[in-house]
Amino acid sequence: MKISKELIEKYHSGTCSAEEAAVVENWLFGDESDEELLLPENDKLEHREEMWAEIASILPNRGRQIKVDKLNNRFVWRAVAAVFALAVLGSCVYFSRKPTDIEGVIVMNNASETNNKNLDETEYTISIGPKSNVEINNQTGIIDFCGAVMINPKKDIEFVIQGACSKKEDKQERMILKKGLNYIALNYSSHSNPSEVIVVEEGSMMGLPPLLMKQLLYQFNI
Amino acid sequence: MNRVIPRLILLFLIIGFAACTRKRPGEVASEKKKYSIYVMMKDGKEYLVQTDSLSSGHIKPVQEGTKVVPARLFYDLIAHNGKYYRVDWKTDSFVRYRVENKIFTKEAELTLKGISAIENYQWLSPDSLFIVDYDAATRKVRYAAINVNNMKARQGETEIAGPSGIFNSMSIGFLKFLDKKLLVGYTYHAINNLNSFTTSDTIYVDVLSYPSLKFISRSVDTRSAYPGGVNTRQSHFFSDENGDFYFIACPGIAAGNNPDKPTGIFRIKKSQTGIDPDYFFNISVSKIQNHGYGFWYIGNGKAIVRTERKGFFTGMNDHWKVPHFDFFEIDLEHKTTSRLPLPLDKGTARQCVLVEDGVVYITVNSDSQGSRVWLYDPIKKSLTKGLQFDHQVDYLLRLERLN
Repeated sequence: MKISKELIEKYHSGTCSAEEAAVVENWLFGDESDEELLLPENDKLEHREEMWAEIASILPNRGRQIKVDKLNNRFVWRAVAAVFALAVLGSCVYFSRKPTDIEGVIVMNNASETNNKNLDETEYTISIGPKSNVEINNQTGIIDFCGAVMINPKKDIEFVIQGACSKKEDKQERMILKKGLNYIALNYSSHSNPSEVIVVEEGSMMGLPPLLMKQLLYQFNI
Repeated sequence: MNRVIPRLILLFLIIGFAACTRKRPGEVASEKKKYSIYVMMKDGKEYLVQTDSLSSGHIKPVQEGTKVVPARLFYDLIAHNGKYYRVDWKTDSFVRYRVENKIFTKEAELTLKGISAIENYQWLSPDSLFIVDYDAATRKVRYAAINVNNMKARQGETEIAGPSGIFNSMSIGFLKFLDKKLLVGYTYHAINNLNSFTTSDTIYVDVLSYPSLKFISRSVDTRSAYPGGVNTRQSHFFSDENGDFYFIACPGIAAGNNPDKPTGIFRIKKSQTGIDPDYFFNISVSKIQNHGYGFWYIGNGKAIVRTERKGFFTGMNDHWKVPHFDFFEIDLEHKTTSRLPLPLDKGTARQCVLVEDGVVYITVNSDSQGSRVWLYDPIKKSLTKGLQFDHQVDYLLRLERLN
């Protein structure tokens, strides 16, 4: 028995015989059936209008019915594509210039496994290490980061630096970052302290384990 | 008239010669100073100071020293016969410098293959330097034997096994040359980006043929971890008067980061190629009760070990800036320890001990007493104050014999 529109309507109205119901259910719930719903070939447009009329009847604004078939489909799709492309391009330009800047808050995420992401602001430049993210509130002076970042202030700035990968244990360090020096901030897990926030001026990296220091030199091109 | 012309020529030659050798204003004649000291100021700037005496005096590096440009050489500097050497990781080149008229001047450089830092070095002769590094790109330990005069090198890779399995990096902790053999101490690491790393529980010592650097044999030891260390950073091994070789293993958080293992001292007896299984000096269970890093020989079976003091620092964020380091004199044979009554020292790793004619020169960076050289007499067990540095000095990073 073939699945047809009439059979499905009959199934929904509850007038199928047991045999017919079994066929429909088998078609509905069976994974392997490749039988397709057969629609009349000659009146597709008519069906489409009929379906749209049914949908439009339940839409809130009934006064603005759109006649889909009357529109030039190619033109519509080209326009949509153009608007979409412009939007994507615009966002790319915007985000590459300044990530997210809502009232002095900058949010940057670097999903790269290997490369840094850099940002040049008025008062500092910042380089975000791989798989790291940072949120800087220029108004409150709070830098919240996860991963590893390098900050180079263009003037002496006071920041509160916190590495909040885990919200359970926010660790803060208030410090004045001096103009022209490079500061590294990273979340570090040593054997004795699994959630440490290290903030060091570049010159003091000599105090880090040699293996870690070497990684930082290479990653931030110091 | 015939005599006048040659005389005039002679006169001009003499005047000209004198003009060539005359010093320009402010120029200081190049003198061969005995010692080189690398300092970091409180504003982060770095200077090289050269001096003939460590016993007395006062030095202001900004006025008397040479500013290091490019800075951030940290500990990757070797001072030798009036010159300085380092490997520049940005260019993979071995560079020779000299201090000329208070300018840190690049003299010559040599391009290296697969070597971007010095993990360990040994002088083969006054003109020949042997360096090794782990090349992450090929996972091989590479070497270069460099003639530092003509800046030519023989380079290649050793047959030391690179990291595998859970390990993705390694450290070369010591080199010990024997007759036609080279002993190399090393270990493996698992690095998790910039966030953390771990060190294997095993110390490896490979015996390689020299100069072919082919693998001969390997021995292992698990009584501690992270053998030796980068020896441009500070001393971690030496041979005593008998030719016995000692090295320290540093599993503390500032080196191997495997601190459940004790800091310990191992011995390789003269002419032996493996670690002496009957000798182990456990520093962490001695009276010291802490992890240590630097290890210097001061003669007569005695050494100095520089140890951290737990409870004074919270982790790696303040390990380098809080004064918490002690200097202990240790007896290698009897395994006894004795703390030198010096101010608490700061700076996680420093090349800070130099021994000459029975005198042990120790640099100490104290927040309360400033930075200075101390003189220790191991016979009289006495400490006296030596050369003092300007209060703007934050760290004395290196003290070395230069000429």
